[in-house]
Amino acid sequence: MTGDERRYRRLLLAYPGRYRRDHGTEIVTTLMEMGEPGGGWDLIAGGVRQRFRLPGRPLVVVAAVLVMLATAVLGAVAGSWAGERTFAPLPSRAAALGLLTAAVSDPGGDDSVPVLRIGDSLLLDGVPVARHPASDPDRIATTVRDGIAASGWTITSFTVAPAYPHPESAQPGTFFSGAYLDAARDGVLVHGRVDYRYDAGRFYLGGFTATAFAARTAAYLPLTVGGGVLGLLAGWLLVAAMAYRLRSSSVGRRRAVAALTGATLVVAAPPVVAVVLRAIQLAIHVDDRRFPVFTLHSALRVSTYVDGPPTWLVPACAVAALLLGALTMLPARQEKLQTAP
Amino acid sequence: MQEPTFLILAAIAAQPRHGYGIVQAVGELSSGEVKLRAGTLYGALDRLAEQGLIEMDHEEAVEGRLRRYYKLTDDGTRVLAAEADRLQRRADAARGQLRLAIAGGAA
Repeated sequence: MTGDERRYRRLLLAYPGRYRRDHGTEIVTTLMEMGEPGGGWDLIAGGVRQRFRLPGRPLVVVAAVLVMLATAVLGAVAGSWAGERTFAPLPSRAAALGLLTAAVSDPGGDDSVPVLRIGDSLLLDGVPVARHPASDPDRIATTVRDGIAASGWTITSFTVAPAYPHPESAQPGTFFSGAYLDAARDGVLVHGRVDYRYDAGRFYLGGFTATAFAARTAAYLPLTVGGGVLGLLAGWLLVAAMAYRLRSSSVGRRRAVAALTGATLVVAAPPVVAVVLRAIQLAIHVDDRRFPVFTLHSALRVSTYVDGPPTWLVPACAVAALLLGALTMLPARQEKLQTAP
Repeated sequence: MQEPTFLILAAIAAQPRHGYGIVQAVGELSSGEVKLRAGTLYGALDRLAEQGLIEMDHEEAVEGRLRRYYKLTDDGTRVLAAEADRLQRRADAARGQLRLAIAGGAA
């Protein structure tokens, strides 16, 4: 093999394997006969174009669009999962209790569970054991805030609620909202509320309740969107490769692939819809620091909604769609034989 | 239809040709203006084969290398003739307008 021929063979790698087997030799022959010493670079463009080429038949185009949607969702979910790897871990139970102690001095009254893990957040419920009186509700709220700030948290938002006009006329022991407080530290956000109680003419600290969750890192959105774009391209390449492979196949084989593709898309519909809805939530609440991040991949977990579709529907369909998709792409025996030398 | 595609169909209308033969013929038919590259050529051949306008005629091994010859199908001949007519009509219409312009200018 001459040097030129070797170079052309390398450039041909831009073309899909099947196409190379069908046309590789004749293309190299043509290039050798054309005799361009430095030429052949258009092969790279030609190869990439060939990988993306779709037959113009309407059914294939529709299939391509739907498959690309499903693979884009798959890619975005993978990117979202990778993005969540960069989130800060939730505070340990000890760290959470430390925050509550800084806020209310002696959390754990009323048999409450001070720290509870639910999904992606911690629920913090600090009810003081002792009664801490104060001259007015504002003082209660600022004391809590200062305690939290002193223990290393950055207070990002602090709003004192309007005073309840006639606390004395409320049922004894009622909790009134005193203030809303947001804090942040090391990539963890806390969204909480200070309550006060009114009893026998005095105001007491009622408690501090909050949720703690990881903040969205800078890497999350690029990874998610990037994953989606890569998934989109991968879906396009997949459909183009299958369409080329099926060119020389029987009508029966083509119908079987069409049916399998259709079945895969139908089964993929619930997870795709779930992820798209989650993406809309993410977009709406993208800068909202009151909730944990609406990560796309969390839409594929077993649902926590009691009403509505079965909780296992989305994850089961996601797995089934992946299996059916893999099955669709398996080459038939005839296609395998065609590529034998 | 793009010009290189039209010229490729014309190149194999009279006789089957292989890759390099098509490149040469297209160059002659276009008086040297259109120089086909291998990537463009085989992209077009692939598309035309898919559309059923061309097909493989025969293969031959020359000096140990594979040459594959392509020819027009009946559909291909029809489409080429229709496109040639269409281009002729366009050219005639343009010439008609030019004649009017010259006549108007001279008056």
